[in-house]
Amino acid sequence: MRLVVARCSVQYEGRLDAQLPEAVRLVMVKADGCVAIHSDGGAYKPLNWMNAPNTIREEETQWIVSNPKGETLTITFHEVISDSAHEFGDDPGLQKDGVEAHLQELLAAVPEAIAPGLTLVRREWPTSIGPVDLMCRDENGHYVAVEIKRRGEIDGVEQLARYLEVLAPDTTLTNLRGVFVAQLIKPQAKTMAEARGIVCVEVNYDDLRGRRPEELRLF
Amino acid sequence: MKFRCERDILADAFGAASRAATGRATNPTLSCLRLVLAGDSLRVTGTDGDLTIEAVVPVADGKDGVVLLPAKLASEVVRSLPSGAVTIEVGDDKVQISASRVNFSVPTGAEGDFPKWSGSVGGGVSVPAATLSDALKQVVRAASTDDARGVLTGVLITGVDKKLRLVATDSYRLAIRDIDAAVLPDGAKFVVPARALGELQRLLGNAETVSINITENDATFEMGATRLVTRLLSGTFADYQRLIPPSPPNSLTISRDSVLESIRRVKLVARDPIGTPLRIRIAPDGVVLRMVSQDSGEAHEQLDGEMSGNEIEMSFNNELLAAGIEACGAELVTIQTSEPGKLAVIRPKDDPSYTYLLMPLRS
Repeated sequence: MRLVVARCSVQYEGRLDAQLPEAVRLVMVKADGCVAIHSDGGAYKPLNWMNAPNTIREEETQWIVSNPKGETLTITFHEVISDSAHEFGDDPGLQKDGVEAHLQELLAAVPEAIAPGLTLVRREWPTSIGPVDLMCRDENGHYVAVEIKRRGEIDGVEQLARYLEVLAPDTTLTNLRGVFVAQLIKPQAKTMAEARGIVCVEVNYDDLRGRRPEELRLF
Repeated sequence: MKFRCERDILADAFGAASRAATGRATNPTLSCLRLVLAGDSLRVTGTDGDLTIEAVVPVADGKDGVVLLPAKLASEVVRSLPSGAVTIEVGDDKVQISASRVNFSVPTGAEGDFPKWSGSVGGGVSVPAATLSDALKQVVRAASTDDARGVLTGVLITGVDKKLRLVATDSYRLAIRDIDAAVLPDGAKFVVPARALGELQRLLGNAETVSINITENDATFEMGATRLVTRLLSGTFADYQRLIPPSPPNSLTISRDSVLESIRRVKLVARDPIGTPLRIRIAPDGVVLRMVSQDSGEAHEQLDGEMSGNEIEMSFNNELLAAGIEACGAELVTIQTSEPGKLAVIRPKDDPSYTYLLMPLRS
């Protein structure tokens, strides 16, 4: 991972032309060749980025990043404040906490707990920006993308909205809609979900555990 | 305080005692080992307040004294040293641990609040260590691991027909093992924390006999120079005897290894750690194990077995079933059933000393 903090300006040419005027930013070059340019704000989204595979040509005051699709990102450095590289090694991946992972397993086993007639198509449905927790079909055969959180907050709704946006061009997913599931969903998240046509469902973890088939007990 | 001891002996003593120490208590001394040197005998003690493990080892060139050492660090340091003699010397607030050309300086702990040893010394009843170790292996795993389940996180130790009986249950399965040893009078009942018995099982590895002494509040197990004492759990244990069906009508006798291999194979389609149901159909033409996973497909396998009674199909948690069959330890196991939805009784063939009761899944 190479991290460059610099006063820079950026020019993107590709599907559209866009530019970032001169300012101090963090330029990240990841081991797989991804390049991301961050400002000092926002949790996850870079101002501009290019996914791997990329070719990076370093010149004296400029980096020219290009990819096979013909997109080009030109970063012009006016002042380099810091330039460091770090070896990260293999990443173990995202470890969801016990309750959230367990919720996903329980709901995959009993999708009807989310909505009557819902059947599981697949857990961890792959998309280019990460897997959707559950892909299900409703009683009409329409696809339902389900995002599961322990606590339902705005970022979870945004995450599901991004998945729906990425999956929207896939015509095989007929009438795709989203359902946001959590033990407790905050009012702001409900409002945002409603505005984006996403249905919110609150589930009770203990009740779900009670629906586990092995709950037959000796006493 | 100062002494010299062989690394392997000291490392084993530190390792055993430090398994009882805890870094999560409000009393910081519980994260330490207490070393007491008197003459050529060093006593190493670790405790979390409920479980205490003490090992006594011979040392040389000793200068008597008492010191507390951080348990985890001291154990790791001693184990990392080159083989041969290790010298430990206590300074004002540091302990020097050295061997060959390696030297560590480790801070000492405050001695004041370290709990006193509460176990019994001597007076116990001896049992072959291997027998108790086998019994613990068969029973302890059936105890609940959920702290909220109270007394079910323990193992009932009771006297029945002049034998020692161990019973554990998490309410989905129940394991019973009888040992030919009159440790307790018939009817006497105590519940020992499963965690303590798990640690005891580790300590039994190299011992020939273990002496058991259970009093009103604690149980002490002595294996040569190593002792373990644990507080008992209070509360009423489940009335397990009424659960054992007198004579279930259906019986299957099957090779233990074959059925375990089969479970391992068919569960390849089950990636769900909750336990994808394992369906078993027992019929005159054979036994069929079947597993269906929505994500990964389906597997079924036919096995030979000797059956009597009626044809029956039931579903089980594959992990709990495999654990019970594996624990039987015999070449042939008997699985007795009555009807779907009712418990199964699993035993080694012709050996009544071990019984495993398992509830099926709703199907």
